[in-house]
Amino acid sequence: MSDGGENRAAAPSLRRIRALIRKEALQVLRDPSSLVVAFVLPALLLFLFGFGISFDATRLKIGLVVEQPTPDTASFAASLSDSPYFDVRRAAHRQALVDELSAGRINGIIVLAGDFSERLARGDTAGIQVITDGSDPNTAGLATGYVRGVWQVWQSQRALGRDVPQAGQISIDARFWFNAELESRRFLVPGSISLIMMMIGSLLTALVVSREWERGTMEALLATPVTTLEFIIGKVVPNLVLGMCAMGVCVVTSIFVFGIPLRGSIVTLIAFTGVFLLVALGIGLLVSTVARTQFLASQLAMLVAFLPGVYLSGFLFEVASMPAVLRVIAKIIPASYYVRGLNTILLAGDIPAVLIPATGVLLLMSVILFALTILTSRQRLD
Amino acid sequence: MLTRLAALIVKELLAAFRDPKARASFVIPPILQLFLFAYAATLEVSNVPVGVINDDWGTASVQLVSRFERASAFSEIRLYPSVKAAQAAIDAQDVMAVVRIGQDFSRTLSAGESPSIQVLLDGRKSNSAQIVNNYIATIVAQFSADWRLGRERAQPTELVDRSWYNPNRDYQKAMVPILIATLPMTIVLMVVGMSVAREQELGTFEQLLVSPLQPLEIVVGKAVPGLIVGLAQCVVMTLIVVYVFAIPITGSIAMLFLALTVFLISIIGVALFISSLVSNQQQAMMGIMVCMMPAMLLSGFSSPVQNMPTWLQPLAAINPLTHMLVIIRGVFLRDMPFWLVAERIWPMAVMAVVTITAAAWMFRRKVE
Repeated sequence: MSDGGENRAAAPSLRRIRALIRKEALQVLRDPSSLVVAFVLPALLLFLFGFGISFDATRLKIGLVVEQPTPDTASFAASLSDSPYFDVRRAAHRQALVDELSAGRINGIIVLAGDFSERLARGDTAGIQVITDGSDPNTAGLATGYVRGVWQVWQSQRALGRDVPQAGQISIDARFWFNAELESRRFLVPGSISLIMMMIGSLLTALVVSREWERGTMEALLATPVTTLEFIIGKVVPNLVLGMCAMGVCVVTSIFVFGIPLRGSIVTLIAFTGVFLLVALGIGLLVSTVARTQFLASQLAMLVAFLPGVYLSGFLFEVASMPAVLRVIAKIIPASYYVRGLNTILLAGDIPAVLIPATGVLLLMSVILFALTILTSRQRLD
Repeated sequence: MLTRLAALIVKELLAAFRDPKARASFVIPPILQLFLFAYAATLEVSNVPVGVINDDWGTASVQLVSRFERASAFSEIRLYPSVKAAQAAIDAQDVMAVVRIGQDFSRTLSAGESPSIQVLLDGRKSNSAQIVNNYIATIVAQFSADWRLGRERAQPTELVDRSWYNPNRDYQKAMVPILIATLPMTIVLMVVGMSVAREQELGTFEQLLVSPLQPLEIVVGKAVPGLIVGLAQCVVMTLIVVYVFAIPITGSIAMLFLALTVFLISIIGVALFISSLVSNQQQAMMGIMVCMMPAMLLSGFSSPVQNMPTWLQPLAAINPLTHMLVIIRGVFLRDMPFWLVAERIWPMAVMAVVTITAAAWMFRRKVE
C-alpha cells in the first residue's frame, strides 16, 4: 500500500462509487436473507411486539376469600365480579388460593375476614385485605388501584341515602393527550420500530463489512484504487435503501394493523428516519472495522446498539427515574432521540421543539461516527 | 465412539475459547448488561417535573401546590401562566403532566361544595402518564381528606393493602434475577449458532459430516461448549444477584439449576436447529435475532404473559424462557414448592428433545 496514500487523497470518483454500489446491491439481491431482513422481518417483529407487549392489564385474576358469607360480603363480591378488570375466583379458605398465588396463576387475593359484617354493624371500621403478588410490581400496583376503584364505588353506593357528607371532595378530570384510549401499544409500537431499525441498520452493516475482513476480500478491495470514503459510501447507500424499505413496511404495518395515527407529515418521517439510519449504519461500520470477525462484530453491535436501545431509549423504561450515570449515558444513545422524535411524529405531529434538536444531535452523531470509521480504517491500513 | 466424541468436544472447546476477544465477549457484555439492567429496568416514575396552571388566588390552591412541591416523586413544579404555554411544554416533552386549578377552586371548597381540577397528561407515554396521574390523584385525595378532617365520622370500611413476596414492590428484586436466564440465553444462542454457521461458511462442516461422526455426536459436540459457557454464566450471575444485589433465594437452589440446565439445552437445540437451516453467519445471526427478540419479549420479561391476546398465548407456552422466568421468580421470591417447579420444567424438556432431534435430523439429511 505504498502508493495508496496518493489515491486516497484524491477526490472521490463517481464511477468507482457507482461500481461499488452496484457490487453491494448485487450481493444484497443474491442473498435472500437480506431481502427477508428488509421486508419480512420488520413486519413479523412489529406484529409480535405490537400484540405481545402490553401494559394494559384487562383481566386480572383475583382470588376472593369470604370467610363468613353475609349480604354485605355478597354485595362486595358482586361489585368485584361486575368489574371488567377482574376474573374472580372464589374460595372459603386462604390456603386454597395461596398455592395459586405462589404458582403465579393468580395476581392477588382479597380477604373478607369472618368478622367483616359484625364490625360493619357495630360501626367499627371493617378491613378489606388485599394481597398482591409483589414479584410483578407493575401488575401488583395496577391490581391494587383497580380494587381501590371498585371499593370506592361500592362504598359510595352503600352510603347512598345515608348521612355521609360529600363536602370538600375534590374530583379530578384527567385528560390524556395524543392517546386518549391509553393504549400502551401506541407508544410501544414506535419504540419497537426504533429497535427494528437499529437492528437492521447496525447489525446488518456490521456483518456485511466484517465478512469482507474475515473472508479476505477486504485486502483485495484495498489493493484497488478505492478510497476509504468511497468504500464507506458504497456500503452505506445500499444498506440505507434496505433500511428505508424496512421502515416503509413498519409504518404501513403500524398504521393499518395497529391503527397508529400518522399525525406528522411523511416527508418529516422519511427525513428523520434517514438521519437515524445514518447513525445506525455508522455504528455498524465502526464496529466492523474494530472487530474483524462476524462473531465479534455481531456481539459488539448488540452491546453498543441493541441493548442500550432496549434499556435506555425510554421505550420501555422511564429514563428520568434512573440513576444519574444512566441518565447521562442515555443522552448519548441515538435511539433515545429517535424514540422521542418518532413518537412525536406518529402521535402528536411535526413539533419543531422536539424534532429540530433531535435531528441536530443525530446528524452530529453520524458525522462523528463516520469520521471515526475513516480514522480507524486508515490506521488499520498503514 | 466415546473417544471420537471426546475429541470433538475438545476441538469445539478449543475453537470457542481460543480467540481472546471472543473469550472477553463471554464475560464483559453479560456483566455490563447486568448492571445496566439492574438500574435501568424500572417502570417506576420518579424525578419528573410537573407543570401547574393556577388561575385561583385563594389559600386552598396555594396549599395544594405546595403539597405538589413537597412530593418526592416530582423533581420540580413549573408554573405556567396559560393553557397555551402549558400545551407547548407538553408538546416539547418538558413536562409529562400539567395540573390546572380553576379560578373558583378556593371559593367552591370554602363554600362546602366539590370543586374539580383538571390534569393534562402526555399520552405518548401512557404507562408513565398513568402512574403520574395516580401520584397526583393520591396527593389531591390526601389534601381533600385533610380538608374534611374533623367534619366527618370514621369510614365504615378500609382497604388494607399488602404485597407478598416483595413487600416494597421493588423492581430490582423482580427484574434482576431474570437476568440469570436471559443473559446466558443470548450468549448460548450466539456461541452455538454462529459456530456451526462459521464451519458451514468455511466449508469445514462438510468435512465434519463426512467424518465417522454420527449426526447426533456432532450435535452433542457442538452443544457441550455452549452448555459449559451457559452454566458458568448462570453460576456467576446467581452469585452476583445473591451477594451484590442481596436478593436471597427462598426456594431450592438444586431445582433452580436443574431447571437452568434443561432450559439451556432447549436453547442450544433452537440454536442448532437455526444453524442447520442457514448457510452463512449473516443468515445465522439474523435467524438468531428473529428467534431471540420474540422469545425475550413474549416471555413475561417486559410485560406479563396474561396481557397478551389469546392467540399469542400458545407461542408464549412453547417459549422455554416463559417457563424459566416463572421458575426464577418463583424460586427467588415466592419459595415455589418442588412440584410447581417440576410442572414448569417438563415443557422445556419437551422443547429440548424436539429441537435437538430436529437439528440432528437436519444434519443427517445434509450427509445423504
